[in-house]
Amino acid sequence: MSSSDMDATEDVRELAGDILADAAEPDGSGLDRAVWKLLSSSGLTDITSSGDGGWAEAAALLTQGGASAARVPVAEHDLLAGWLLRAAGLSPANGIATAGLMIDGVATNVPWAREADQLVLIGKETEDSVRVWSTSPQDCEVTPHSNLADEPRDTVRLERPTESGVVGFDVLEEFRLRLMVCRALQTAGAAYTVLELTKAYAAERVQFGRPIAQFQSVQELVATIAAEATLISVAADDAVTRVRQHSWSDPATIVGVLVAASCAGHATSIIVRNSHQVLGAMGYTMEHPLHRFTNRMLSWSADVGPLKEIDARLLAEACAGSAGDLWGLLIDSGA
Amino acid sequence: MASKVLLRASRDREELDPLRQDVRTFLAEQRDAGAFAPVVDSWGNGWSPSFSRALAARGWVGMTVPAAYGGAGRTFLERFAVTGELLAAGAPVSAHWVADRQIAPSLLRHGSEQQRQRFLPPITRAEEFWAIGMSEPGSGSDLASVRTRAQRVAGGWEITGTKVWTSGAHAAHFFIVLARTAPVNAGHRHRGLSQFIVPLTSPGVSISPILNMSGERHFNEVVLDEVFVGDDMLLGEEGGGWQQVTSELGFERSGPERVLSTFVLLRQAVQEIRDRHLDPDPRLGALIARIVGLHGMSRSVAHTLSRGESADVAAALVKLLGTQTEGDVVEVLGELTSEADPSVSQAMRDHFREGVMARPGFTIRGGTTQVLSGVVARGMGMR
Repeated sequence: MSSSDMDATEDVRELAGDILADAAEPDGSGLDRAVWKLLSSSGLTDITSSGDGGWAEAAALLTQGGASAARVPVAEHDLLAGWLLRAAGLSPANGIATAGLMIDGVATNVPWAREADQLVLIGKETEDSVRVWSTSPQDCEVTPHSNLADEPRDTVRLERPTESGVVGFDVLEEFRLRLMVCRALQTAGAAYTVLELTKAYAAERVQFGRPIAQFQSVQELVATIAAEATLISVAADDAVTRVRQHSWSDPATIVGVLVAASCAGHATSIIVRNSHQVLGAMGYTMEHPLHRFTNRMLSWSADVGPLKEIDARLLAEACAGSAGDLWGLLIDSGA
Repeated sequence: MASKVLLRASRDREELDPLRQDVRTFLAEQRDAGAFAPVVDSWGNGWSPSFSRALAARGWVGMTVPAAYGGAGRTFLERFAVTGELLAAGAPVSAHWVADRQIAPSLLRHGSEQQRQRFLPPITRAEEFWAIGMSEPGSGSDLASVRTRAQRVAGGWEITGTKVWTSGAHAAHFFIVLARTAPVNAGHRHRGLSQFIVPLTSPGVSISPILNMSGERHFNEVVLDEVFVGDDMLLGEEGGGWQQVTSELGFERSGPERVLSTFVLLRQAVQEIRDRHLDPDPRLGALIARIVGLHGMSRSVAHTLSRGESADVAAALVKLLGTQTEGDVVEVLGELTSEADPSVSQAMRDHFREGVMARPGFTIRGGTTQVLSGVVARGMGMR
């Protein structure tokens, strides 16, 4: 990245961080339209759709979003829905947009569907064709469901005809990969917040005459959180770099995205386990913020599908080339 | 809450792609000529002076040593790329590894001009090999407790003590001995330690083998009985030994050798799957992802260090996770196959056995997992 790219990214990181730190209502529920308005008026909600910036800036926004557990669809609106509408040649979104995957006429697990203004759905219409539908909750049957962090993950069925367009299978594939990158970035942000919460608690909680931070067994739990959080962060950033440098169908990109998704999923499991262990009973309460982050991390992992399938796919990519070329496949810059 | 990361990702510049390709071409030629066969843990377990010399002839030993001292004057990141390629290929780099990784940087940082001129060129030509004299029977993780003494005599020093776990001492030319040059000060245990360059053929040096559990001789016990070295063999400052040793830790702990020791085994498993000797198990995909991610962490630390910035916590994190994952490769494969499994190839059985035998060392050598957790905790202000 050039140094001016780096500056733009740091600007977004700082601006988003400030807005989200000041404005987020941690104890509320539902889509936080006040925060969305602040982000939007600062030009942060349509970074790639507006052409003002690219993945590097969007990644900074997503990481900060994850770090603050803000109840806003920062990933869905721009990088998923906004992009899908352009890819399908459809009208731009009216208000806040979200996106989901349609399978056999039903889209499940659609983030924020019931509260969004625009629902953008992609799925196989027949075995040989893929379509993008652009609709709204009013034109759909929306059945509310929530994820582990009590965020909407609704089931959507189209009820009325709606604007739509045919796209290639590459768009469907790119949608899946984009979602993986988004979730890895959000998870990286949340992981660092979990680390800070865990360190703070261990420093303050005194038992047996000293802060529990001084016990080696606790130190090992926290050191592991730090290590795993760093792994997610580096893998997610590396995926973004590959996305910026290559096409979505380039093996270098696919490998990088799968690596990020796998690392994020497995590391989440360890970070969630260790942080709850250190925070004991207090961390188990509704009142303490830990669950807002740990349960989001787990839900974001669920959003990209079973970890087993991600790992299996990466293994298949590795086995597709010759074993002698495996190292190059995994770490090269690509074509 | 603002997220404060411990490490930013960095990517190789495309300029490094040709270098990586050159190394791969070299390795293919060497393999085809029968110069080596890949082994697991090839930086600990692959001693080949002829391979080291062939590598040196390409300018890939002592790469970062300035040309004035016989090196190629290349960057730290170029070395990172080359060593990663060598390790991923299981190439036998043990003979020159210590000299290349830490002796040369140490000589450049702390050595006198005369020492640099005498010792660096043969390192870059892979003509002289080095070992590390730090651990003692009573001093492993607690390195500051070493008891080897160096006493001032006319013209130099007399060193007496016992060093242990000295890899390659029986085949190396020199080793760097950490010795006490001033009595222990209870409140400041790190003071009064110095480093000395000691020829392993010196009178008073006795080297005995320590066999590892697979019957191989890598380790040695080196007894020093009033071994004389001249004043010109003191490395750096008298009493500066501790600072000199710890200043290199960021580099030593975070290198690709902390992630790739079992890559050859993982690569073989992929081959077995392609040949339908093993079923594709998603856990292998997870291990591949983790190794790629950890290599990325190692590279990011390399970038940070090459900018002259400190990365002690991040480096410890790389070793903490990397060495555990190296062992996990062996463990997961142990649930899918074994050294006695007739349905996989002989190469798989051999590499698996190599992996099992090498595994206990991964998380012990160069800073145990337990010590590193403490380093990270201290680095994060918990201690």
